[in-house]
Parts: sequence; structure tokens; C-alpha cells
Amino acid sequence: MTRVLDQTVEPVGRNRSRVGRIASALPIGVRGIRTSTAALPTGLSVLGFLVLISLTSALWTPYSPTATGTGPVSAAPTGAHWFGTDSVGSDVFSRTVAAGRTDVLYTLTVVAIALLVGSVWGAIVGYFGGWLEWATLRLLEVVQAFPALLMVLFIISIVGPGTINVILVAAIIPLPDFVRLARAEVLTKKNWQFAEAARMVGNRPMVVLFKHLMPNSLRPLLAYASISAAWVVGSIAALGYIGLGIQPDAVEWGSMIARGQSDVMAGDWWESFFPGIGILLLAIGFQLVGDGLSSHRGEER
Amino acid sequence: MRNDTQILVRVRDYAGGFTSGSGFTPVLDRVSFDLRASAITAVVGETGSGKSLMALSIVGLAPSTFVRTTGSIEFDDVDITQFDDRSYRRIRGSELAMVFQDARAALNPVISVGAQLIDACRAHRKVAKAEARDIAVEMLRNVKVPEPKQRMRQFAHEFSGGMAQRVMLALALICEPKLLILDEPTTGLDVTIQADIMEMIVDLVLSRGMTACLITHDLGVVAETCDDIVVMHHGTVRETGPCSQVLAHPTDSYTQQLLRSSRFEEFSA
Repeated sequence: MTRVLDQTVEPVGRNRSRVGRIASALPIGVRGIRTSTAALPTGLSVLGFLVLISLTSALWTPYSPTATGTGPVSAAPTGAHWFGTDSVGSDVFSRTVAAGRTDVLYTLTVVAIALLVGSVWGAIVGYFGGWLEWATLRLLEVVQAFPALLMVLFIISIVGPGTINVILVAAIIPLPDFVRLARAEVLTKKNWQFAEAARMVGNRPMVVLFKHLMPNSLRPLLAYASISAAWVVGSIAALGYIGLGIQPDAVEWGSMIARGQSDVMAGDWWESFFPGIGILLLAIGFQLVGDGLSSHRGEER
Repeated sequence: MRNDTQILVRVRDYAGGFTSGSGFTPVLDRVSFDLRASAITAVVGETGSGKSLMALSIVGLAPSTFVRTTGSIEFDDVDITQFDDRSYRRIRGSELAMVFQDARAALNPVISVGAQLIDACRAHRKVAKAEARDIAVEMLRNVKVPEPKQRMRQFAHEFSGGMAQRVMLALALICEPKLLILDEPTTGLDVTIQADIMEMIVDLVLSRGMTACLITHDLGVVAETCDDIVVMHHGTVRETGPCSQVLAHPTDSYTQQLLRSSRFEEFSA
């Protein structure tokens, strides 16, 4: 029976990351980490490690990430070029860590926008109800009726690639889930006694909602933010891979994989392998933090 | 008899019920009673008799599914059933306040007790935060919370039931309302603490000249502390009058039954 109680809250909707699905399919022994108390510290360590590398890369990389001809062309990893070089002689290690900075930054921006807009929107419609709530739910249903990545590609192909566009469009996809989650949180809590007490002393509705109610819902919202970040990592990389990303030749993991793809066929695996590992680590990190936060076992009291 | 005293709250023919998908369920049926100014009025009756709902209606916090069909509630000679949210918010806390039954559930788990008191204070008074803090500390001292300054920084789960109820009382009293409604304020507390809290409530109410409405099951408390009594049953008022008179010579069959079934009989015998 404890098995059931120990289960983490699985995110609903389509935005569950591929990594999450793969992890669920793994044998119990490996899956155990997702449900144990180790999830949060492990996830935070992975993310901390990646952030640290990204920050360092802003100050120093062995070679310039954009410089070509830093060594022999398409060379396997050596002491001079830890991750090897690509077909134009750029240092893959320098590019990988510099690309990490881009991916981490954009993922955090996208999730922050979705979290902020989604929870404020959801909280307001949940608290006040009425036609706005009805209209919101219908709108979300329309948006969520389309497959997520297809929707992103569709909008990007209309508005065109570019930094701002990619960020905003990628934020639209997890947004409905945040609206729903925040609305549900407020709906269940708005008639609790402490909310009633906050109204009883004469607080304004907005004060009751955002100062007294929302802080109680921070944990599930942050948990979901982390889980959806895992999805966002994948989508940003996917957009970069098909050339619809931030910029056509930005130093970014997805576009690095695309650039190294033809060489992989020739046996030069390192060009695509290391950025791939980067994506995997970042997604796993976010997924584990999300699992840790939503795990019942981690709940105090 | 104090016939010349003023009436603070006048409930007249107040009726209403809950609407749901399946229709309308009447709950309150032409409820009429008065709350005399500076007096303590008890509202007694069994669970489900509509006494809490009546109290919530007075402070304008009845659930949104509750619909008033007829009647009026006059507070200070103004019919507050006609108030919109904004007007109600202006008097809630400052003119009338309510203490809920489960104080620990009524305190926010993630906001410090001090912040809640300061919020309540600043909702009605134009005071600086530091000043509101001083008022809040003073208020906690009034309700006999030890070490009020340290307690300000603590959270609901760090308070015992009795202490939480004191905080709740401070929250209700911080803007010095004219009317204080107490919804079973001592239910769920230890018996010894019940007496302490009740005594403190009566002291605070009397010393401030407030009007109080005490919703309770405990007829012993009513006999000791209240001036008037309202007996409710199945959403109707069965009997009202001065406590001494109603408890000694109940005229209504339900009041008689209530008295017989409570330990009060032992007191009066």
C-alpha cells in the first residue's frame, strides 16, 4: 500500500517531457530515484552543475565558441580539444558549454513567463469566476487541442524565428497548464477558513487572492514549472535543430546537433553527442526537481 | 429591564436557502431577532439549525450559493442586505467582525501571524506599517498572548488551539468593531482553556462596550455570561428574550426540550 502513497504526482496533459516518460518506463530500481527523497537534491545538483558551467563559459572557454580552425578539422577528442573539433575546426567543448548558457537562459525565461502569466491569469479567473472563467477555459481547450510541438512550429512559421518570437511561442505551450493549475488551487482554497478570515477583516479581494491564497499554492506551481522546463528544454533544442530556433547559426545545442549530423554518419560522433548529453542532463535535472517538489514524501507535516 | 437601550442589529423576516443544480433548498425561514447595543446575545440551537449561516449573513460572508429571498438585516439603522461588496468590505472588520470556530484553520499557514494582524489593521486604518505593528503587538498583549513581539513572527502551526483562538480574537478586535460575532469560539478547546478564553472574551467585550453575539451549544456558558438569548431550530427562531427569563421559564416546547437535554438542568436545580 505504501507503494501507492509514495507515488509522485504525475503531471497531466501533453507537456510531460519525453525524458519523464522514458524515466517512467525504466525498471523500478532506476525509477526509484524519481520517487525518493533523493530526487530534489539530485536534480538541484545537476542543475547547479550546468548553471555553474554556463556561468563559467561566459568568462572563459578554452577557445572562442565561434572561432573556426582552432585545430585539425573533425578531430576526435584529445587533450587539446576535450570534445574534439567539428567539420570547420571549431572546438566542440567550447561550443557545448557556451550553448549551454543559451539553452539554460532561454528555458528559464520561457518558464518564468509561462509561470507568471499563467498563475496570475488562473488565480484571477478561479477567484472571481464568471464569464471570464468560462471564456478562458474554452480558449485553453482550443489551444490544447493541437499537438504542442506542431503548434509551436505552426506559429513560428507564421511569425518567423528569432529570439523574442521563440521565447513567446514556447511560453504559450505550458501556459494553459499553469492557468488550469492556479485556477484549481484557488478554487479549492478560496473557501477555506483562513481565506474567509482574511475577507472577514476587510481585506481587498486582490490582497486576499495574492497575499493570502497564492503563497499556499507556490509549491505545486513551482513543481509544475520545473517539470514543464524539462519539456521546454527539448522544444527549444528541437526548434534549433530544424533551423527555426533563436537564430539560424546561434551557438545552441539543437543547432549543434543538426550541424554535426552529417558527420555522425561518417563516424564523427562527438559533434552531436556532447550537446545531446547537455540536453539530456538539463531535462533530467528539471524533471527531478519537479518530481522532488511534487513528491508527497517531501511534504513537511 | 433595560427597555431604553438601543438596538444595534435588527434582523427582520430574514429568509433564504441554497441554490444548486437540482433546485432550491430553503434553510432560514423568516428569522427575526434583535441584538441590543452593548449586550451579549446568545444564539443557541442544534447543529444545522441555521445559526452559523445567520451569523455569516450578518457579516456578508454567506456562501455564494446562498440566496436571500426576503427580509432585512439592519445594522445601525442601515439595511446591509442591500450593500455591494465594496460597501460591505468597508464595514467588515471595522464595524463588525467575526471569530470562527476553528482558529487554527482560520489563520493562514504560510503568512506570519503578525503580517495577518498588520494587514487587518491597515485594511481600515491609514497607518504606517510600523505603527500597525505596534497596534498588533498591543492587541496580542490584550488577548494575553505571552511574548507578543516574538509571537508576531510565528506561524499558525506554532500555536496551540487556545493561543490560536486568542490570535483570532485579536484579528477580529484590531479595528475595534462595534459588533463581535463569536461562532462557537471555545468548541474544540480543552475544558480548562475554554473557561479562560470565555472569561477573557467577556472581559474584552464588557470593557470596550461592544455588542456581542455568541453562537454556542453550551447553555451553562449562556446562563453565566449572556444578557439575551435567541433559540433557533430548523431555520426558525423559536423563542427570544432576556436570558434569565427564557432559561427559567421557557414557553416554547423546543426550548424546554433543549434545556432538559443539557446539563443546565443540573445548574438550575
